[in-house]
Amino acid sequence: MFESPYSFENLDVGQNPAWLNWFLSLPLVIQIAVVSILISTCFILYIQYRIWYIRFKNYIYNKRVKYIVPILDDLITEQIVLKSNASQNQFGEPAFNIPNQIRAEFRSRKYRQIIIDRIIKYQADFTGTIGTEMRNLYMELGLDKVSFRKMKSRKWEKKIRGIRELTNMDILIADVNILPLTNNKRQELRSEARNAYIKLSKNEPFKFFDVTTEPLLKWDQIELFKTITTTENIAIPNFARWVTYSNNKSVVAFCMELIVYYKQYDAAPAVVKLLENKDHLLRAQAINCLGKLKYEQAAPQLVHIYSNQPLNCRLEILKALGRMGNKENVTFLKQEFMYSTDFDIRKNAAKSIVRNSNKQQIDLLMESCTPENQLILKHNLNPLIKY
Amino acid sequence: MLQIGQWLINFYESSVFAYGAILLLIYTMLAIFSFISIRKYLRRESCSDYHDLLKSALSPGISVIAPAFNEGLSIIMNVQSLLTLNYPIFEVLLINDGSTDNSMEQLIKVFELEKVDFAYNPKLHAKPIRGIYKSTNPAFSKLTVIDKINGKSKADAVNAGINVASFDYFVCTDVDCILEMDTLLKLIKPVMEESSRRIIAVGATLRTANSCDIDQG
Amino acid sequence: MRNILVIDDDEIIQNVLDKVLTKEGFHIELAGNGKEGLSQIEKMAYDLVITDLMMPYANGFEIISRLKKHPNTANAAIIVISSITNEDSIMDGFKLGIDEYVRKPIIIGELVMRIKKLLSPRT
Repeated sequence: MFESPYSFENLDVGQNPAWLNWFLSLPLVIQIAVVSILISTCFILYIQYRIWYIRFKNYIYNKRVKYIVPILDDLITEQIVLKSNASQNQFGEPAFNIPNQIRAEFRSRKYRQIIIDRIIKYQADFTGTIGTEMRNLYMELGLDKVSFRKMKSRKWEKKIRGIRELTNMDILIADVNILPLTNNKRQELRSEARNAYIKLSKNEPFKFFDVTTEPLLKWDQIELFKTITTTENIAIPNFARWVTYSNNKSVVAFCMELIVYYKQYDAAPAVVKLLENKDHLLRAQAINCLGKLKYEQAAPQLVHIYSNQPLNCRLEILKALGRMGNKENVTFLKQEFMYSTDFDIRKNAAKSIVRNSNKQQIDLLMESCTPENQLILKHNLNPLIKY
Repeated sequence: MLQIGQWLINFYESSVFAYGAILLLIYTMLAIFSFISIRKYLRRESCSDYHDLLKSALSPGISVIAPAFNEGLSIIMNVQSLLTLNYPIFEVLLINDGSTDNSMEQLIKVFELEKVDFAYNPKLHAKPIRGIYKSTNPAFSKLTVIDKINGKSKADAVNAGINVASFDYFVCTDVDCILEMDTLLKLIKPVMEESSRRIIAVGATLRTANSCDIDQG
Repeated sequence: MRNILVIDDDEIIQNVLDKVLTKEGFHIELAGNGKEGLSQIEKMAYDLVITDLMMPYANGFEIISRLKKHPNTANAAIIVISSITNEDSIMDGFKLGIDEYVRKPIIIGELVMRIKKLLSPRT
């Protein structure tokens, strides 16, 4: 079946070196096998080399960290931590007394990334005077230029790291540089750029809410939420604007979270309008938002729409009525608790009743209901159970 | 006749060869593809920061479901380890799947447990629950212990746990598994990162650690 | 001299608190995790314990409840430093009897003031 490759016989074998002649005289199958064995051997060797290389790199990195971090730590404790505590009223220039040799080492390619990471860790742990001084140190060492260079890099992951370093250190990035990146085709880079824009832009940090068409991922929302709520001196607009006008559901949902966080009561009427929205998830969140704002005026409407809502919205309505703390709603809650067949509805209704009744009322209710409902009531009365 | 025999032998030989070759080829392809996707993943990982989840108020709650059957020797330490997970909102549901040793007594004593009237919705089929316990010490408020009749399978115990779970996401583990502190942060991230598709499950690598010293568990 | 125990797995916080509080005239002991912290309290009595909530070996709440039971720290004031902003966690902390809940990032001057106030003799 497997004959030698006749096609090669016509070749002028005389010019080839001896090993090639030998190779060509082998059957085709063996030839293929030899080639694949060679390739896989090379591959294995390469992988082994990579493993060694990575281990070696880690070893070198750890050695460098061990050497440079204590020097930096000493410098920081000596010149920032202990000083800023004693003389808080010095408004002079941030004069760091760094010996030239150490300064050169901090800036060298070998150590600068380690220094940047360490300074950012300090910045994450401390704010106030130490925070400002860390920022000054970062600028003084010229590390902002390193981060800016990273931002200009062609690789997107390097760009992200550069942007993140700059935002962590509160360094202003010009709008010209950051705005194009908020529309980049890489999703990760896009969200990082938005994050940076919100944190650093002085005039209109929330501008991109107006233009963004694609949904904000839950993860983006988490990062943005953290950035917005932890940035100092950020101008918080009235989020009702986007709740009313934005066509992007995720932006609307995210704005409702922010409305709750910043307790923007005057945004409540805009949220009430969402109760007529077709999307039940958005409706459920609007109800949740109203409940957390304790916007009692919406209670009659919530009770009114209750009967033609899907389950998730019903549960939210029951929770919201409980949060609003309005005694008039208790009758409605009791009715749901007593006569509903759905477990989750009874449980949430009971929770809201417990929040808004005194002991006698609950005892009264306890006597008049089925054993299962009694269990639900007891569940909600127990302070050890949270949910 | 002889020719047919020869042909059959040849056919057999070549099919064995073809089978081997194709198998090898597929393995090689798989190796290359996984290599590429790992590179991609590492590239993405190099610039992601899990710790934002810790500080954000939007992080979803997670129920950690851990069934245990006759693990009296290690149960206390392992529950303590589960309670050190690095995540803002989570609960640990320990299911005592009808243990015949003293695990339940140990748990009650160490974690100051008290039987509570817990209302739950038996959505999934599982063997009946004898009692649900919560700790009277606020230090262990994240812990719920479910004492149930043995259902002869881990699935049965997990089902009971899901019935009691109060969060939308749950992680199934085992009491004798030791989770890394950042596990929950890492597991929930892919779920949060998807918009078009809904992720319903994520996997994790397990490493066996028999007779190893576990540091910082 | 007032004794302060700092339990935190973040060496930056350990280091800074050590330097600052030593300068303010307190005696500082450091512990890198809950286990170390609990062995530290066997040795001497403390007036104040500063602890993180999320550390390896034992969760912060458990450490706090043990501190409250141990004779060497039963009367000590407890400050929690954590990046967790979750309301339930904070409430659990106060139920266990902590005195202050400080969120990261810390303003060091403010923290020092709180510590001084906690340790000043109550009238």
